[in-house]
Amino acid sequence: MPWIAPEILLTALACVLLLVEAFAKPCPRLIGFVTLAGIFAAIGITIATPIASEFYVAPWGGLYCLDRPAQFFKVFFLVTAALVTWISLAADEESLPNRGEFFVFPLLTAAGLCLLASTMDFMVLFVALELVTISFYILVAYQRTNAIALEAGVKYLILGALSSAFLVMGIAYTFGITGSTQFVEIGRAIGHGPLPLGLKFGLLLIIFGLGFKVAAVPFHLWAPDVYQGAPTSITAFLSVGSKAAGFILLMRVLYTAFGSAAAFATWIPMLSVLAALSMLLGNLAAIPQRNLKRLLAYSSIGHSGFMLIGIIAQIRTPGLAISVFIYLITYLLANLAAFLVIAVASKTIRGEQIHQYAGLWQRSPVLAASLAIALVSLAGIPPTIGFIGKLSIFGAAWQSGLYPLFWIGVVSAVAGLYYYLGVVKAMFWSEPLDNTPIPACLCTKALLLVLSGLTLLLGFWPQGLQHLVRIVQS
Amino acid sequence: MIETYIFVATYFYHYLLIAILGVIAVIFACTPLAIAWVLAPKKPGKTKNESYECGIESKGDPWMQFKVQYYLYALAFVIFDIEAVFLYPWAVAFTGVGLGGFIAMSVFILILVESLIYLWGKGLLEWK
Repeated sequence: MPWIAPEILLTALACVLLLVEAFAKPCPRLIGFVTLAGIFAAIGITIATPIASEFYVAPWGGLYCLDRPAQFFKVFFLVTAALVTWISLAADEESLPNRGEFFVFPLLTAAGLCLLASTMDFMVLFVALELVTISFYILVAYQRTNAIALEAGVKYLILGALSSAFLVMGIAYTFGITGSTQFVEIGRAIGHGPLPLGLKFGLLLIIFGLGFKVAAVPFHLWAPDVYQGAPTSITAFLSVGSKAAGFILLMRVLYTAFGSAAAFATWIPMLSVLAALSMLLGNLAAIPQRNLKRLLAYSSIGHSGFMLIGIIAQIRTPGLAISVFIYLITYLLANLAAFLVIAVASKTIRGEQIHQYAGLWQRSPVLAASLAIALVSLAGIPPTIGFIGKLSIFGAAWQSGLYPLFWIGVVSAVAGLYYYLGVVKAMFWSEPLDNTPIPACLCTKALLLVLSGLTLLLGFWPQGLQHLVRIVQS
Repeated sequence: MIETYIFVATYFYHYLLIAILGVIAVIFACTPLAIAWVLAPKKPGKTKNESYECGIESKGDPWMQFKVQYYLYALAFVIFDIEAVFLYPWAVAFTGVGLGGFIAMSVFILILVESLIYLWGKGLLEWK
């Protein structure tokens, strides 16, 4: 079974590493490096595996596919997992209990995310989603002696369980009416007729459940507290991996299972409201934030809103869902660079308040410049890749005639400039609290150089991005 | 519109009997209590207010700390409880699932065995 080899590899490696950690108790960093090697191997396997657009695992039939989007998202998730492990290694907080196992759980999360990218059935979807979420429950509350981390863990556990309950209820309604859990079969059962009431209700509950995962307003309440309380590398994983997982699931469920005209009439208004509220609230509520991780949490809520526009635009003008792929790439580069800087800097600064980052330029020029490029990219200012992402989303909105969403998006993007640039201003033009330089190892600097370099390079040369996207589309 | 109405009506009809049963159950339980409350003479005393056939009176504060090991044992127990729950339907359908089903279940059991070895390695099975 070469198709699910990455998932098998990651899970097996996690099982072995857990046993090794329990009995041999090796150096935690060693486990981190083995994890990193395993993830790179999985990336290699995923890229080398030939595409089978409608591949079904034989004995169970119709559960799993490996098409271009699935491959794109697998590589996306694995790159995220690799960078997150790198951030964990760079931060390497001595205060963490069980530091060895801290490197193992992201492997399980990555396995679940890879499975999610390929799911064609609600049962696989649920199992994979639970694998991802349960590993995240453990990781979020990892600093269990810290009250803020415990609060984050409890909030994430309760709200995550609630969202799973919504999702299961929605799946049950859908199964009860269409008689299948497979996306293709559900689409066939719906046909071109009107949606029965029960199915509308099921769709509503499924969108609730996935709305929690992408942290769209009004299902965003967990995000700020959890992002603040979790270890920084895990916050990065949540904000990139978990969010992108929500988007691939939305695409699979909404385009394949609920892809009829009557279904569009039900879910397009719902998603439009979610998108508009997320953009506005995410960007406006970020303005008064004083904690950098909370600020990025609200900013990530806003970014969900922008990407939801791309999901809707695909229905009006086929092919425009590609803007979501572009946006996700820009989001990955900028967000992971920002969290890497926060993880490394907070070892010396001992906090994530914005005023503690004042004068970061004098203390560590590399960290300050990378964080500035990341934030400018998240804001969507021209010479960076973030501008290309915003441009493709707004272009998609305009092209498919979503004018209200377009204008709300533009207004919230402009509001977003204020708080992103506020942090940049504090870093470059404020007096530092103390002048001790912040050390960063050579690996960290190299990785920051690569991430910032790509952010700028692809901003100047968007054809590279276009080329990548054309491969995905083919 | 009319289809929706019929759908809702037939859907909820199945639950109508359960609802009626629920109402009767509540009435059945509450009526004797209400009658006793109205008719019975009220002469409370020290002996009468003691708990009746509810075990021994508790001594001290019941909000004490339990050893966390109890919970860990309970969690480990749940793992194997779930194993039994999943094994049973698999055993019932054993002749139908073929080699693929056998391999899948073997992998599942192996993962559970691994979890037991992991718990042993972490020292959970020692009572300190």
